[in-house]
Amino acid sequence: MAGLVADVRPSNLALAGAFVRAEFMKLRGSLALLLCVVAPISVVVLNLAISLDQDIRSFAQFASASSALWSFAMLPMAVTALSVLLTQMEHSRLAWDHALSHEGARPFLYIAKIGTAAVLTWAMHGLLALAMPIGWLLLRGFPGSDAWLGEFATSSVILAKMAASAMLLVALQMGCAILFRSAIPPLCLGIVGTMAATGAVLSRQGIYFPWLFAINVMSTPDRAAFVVWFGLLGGLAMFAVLSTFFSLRERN
Amino acid sequence: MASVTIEISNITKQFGRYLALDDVSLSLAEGSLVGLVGPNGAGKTTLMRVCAGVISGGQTKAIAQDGSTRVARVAALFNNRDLYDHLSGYDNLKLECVLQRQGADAIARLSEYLGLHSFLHKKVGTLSLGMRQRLAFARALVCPPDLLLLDEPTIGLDPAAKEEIFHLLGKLRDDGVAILMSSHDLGDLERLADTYVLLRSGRIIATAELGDPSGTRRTAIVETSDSRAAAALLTNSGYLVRILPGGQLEVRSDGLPLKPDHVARLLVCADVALYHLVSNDRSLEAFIAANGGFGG
Repeated sequence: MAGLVADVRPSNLALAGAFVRAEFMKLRGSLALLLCVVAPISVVVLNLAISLDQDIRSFAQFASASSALWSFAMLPMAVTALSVLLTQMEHSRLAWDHALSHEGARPFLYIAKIGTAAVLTWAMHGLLALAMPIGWLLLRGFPGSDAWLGEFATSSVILAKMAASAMLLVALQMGCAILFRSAIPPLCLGIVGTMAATGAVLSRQGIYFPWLFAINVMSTPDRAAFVVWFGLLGGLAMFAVLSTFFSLRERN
Repeated sequence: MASVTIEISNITKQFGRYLALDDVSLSLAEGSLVGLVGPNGAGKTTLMRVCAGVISGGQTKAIAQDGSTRVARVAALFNNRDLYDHLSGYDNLKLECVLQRQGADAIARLSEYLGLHSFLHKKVGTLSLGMRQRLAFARALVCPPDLLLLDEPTIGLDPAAKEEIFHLLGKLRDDGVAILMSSHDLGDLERLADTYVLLRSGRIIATAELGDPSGTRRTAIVETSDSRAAAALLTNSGYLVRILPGGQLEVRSDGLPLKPDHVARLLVCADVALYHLVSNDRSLEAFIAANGGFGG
């Protein structure tokens, strides 16, 4: 058997690509993927229910309420659940040893894992951007004018900024979820973070709290710019730190 | 194909202050099966993790007859739970093919080799333990290895599933794959291994090969129609006989090699019906006991 394969050292790019592809293959039929569909849609459904007996006159109002619901409550919860579901694929099956036995698994396995969480977070924002006009359509029927198209573009840009600002949160949650074999620490981190955010939202220092970055995108332009760049660059820096840390760490 | 020897040399692994492996070296011939035994915490799994590249500590080399050396291709089967339950067997193998950069044709080859057709497209979560184990073997063999590491491969399997795994191991050995297998089931290892390695506190305490003087070819378990008559007959013929609680006889030859055919002939000639005779000719238990046991 052994004589069939030639010794060829693949490039780092090929190795990284293989791990990323494998992570996305694992999503097929998984709860993580289901969560990514259900979370944004449930926000629109909830907003639709709330809006039924309210006088919502423009798509901008509807989108703003959906975005607020999303950024303040659903996004932190969804990222928490996503981090747990993605990492428990390995933790719950004691599958890290097998995963790490592949060539190039350090650090590409961790980069692919955290990167997948980031991509799925962007995908949830994209789905929310698409679900909002559908919700609006169900609420008010076909719009008479094209005015909503501009509002749709504006709301989509806001959601894109929210996704960018959430990268630090994703990195923190994923770091905790990979670090601990149990699902309890990342769940606690997510719950405590989300709860603390409700208290910190009114404080001046709340802008530095990763769980509040997304809601601050809807704040003043300077606060929005700060959280977007801090969340995005902080997230990328944290990705790099975590990937390096996990690559070097060896479990007993 | 040139014969290859697998060399695991000078592996030392420390976790903080804890020395998990202390200068462990092993050599495995092509197609051989080495049984790794030792108490819990001896370092068996750590040794396998180092060999598989999961953790650092050393490299496994394949040395050809002409002396040329390369890094050995090592496959490992740590447990059968680490398959993805929500995916089908096919998808699990496809995922492995992606990670090992192999074409999907490997799945067809392995399906044929291991007889996976009947359940390949079922979700892994619905499969029996035996099926999962075969699938886990298939995954380990996606890229044909020089060395296959098996950590407790028969744990939880029923006798039929075990037989399938033993049959598969035989096939792999015929194909030249060297196997390093750890198991707490000494009976399994006795049946399969050519060489035993006793590991304790991260060190190799002893090794023994079949036919080695430290192996004991001196005991047989005999089941007959009349235990008392058989015991008397064998005792009179110079054997040491003990009647076991189930009525079976444990027959010893007092230091000399025991010849099962002689025992059988004696009984049959005396009109004692012989139901069962097992020559316990490679007692791993004796080897472990002779080297200080697991507690040492």
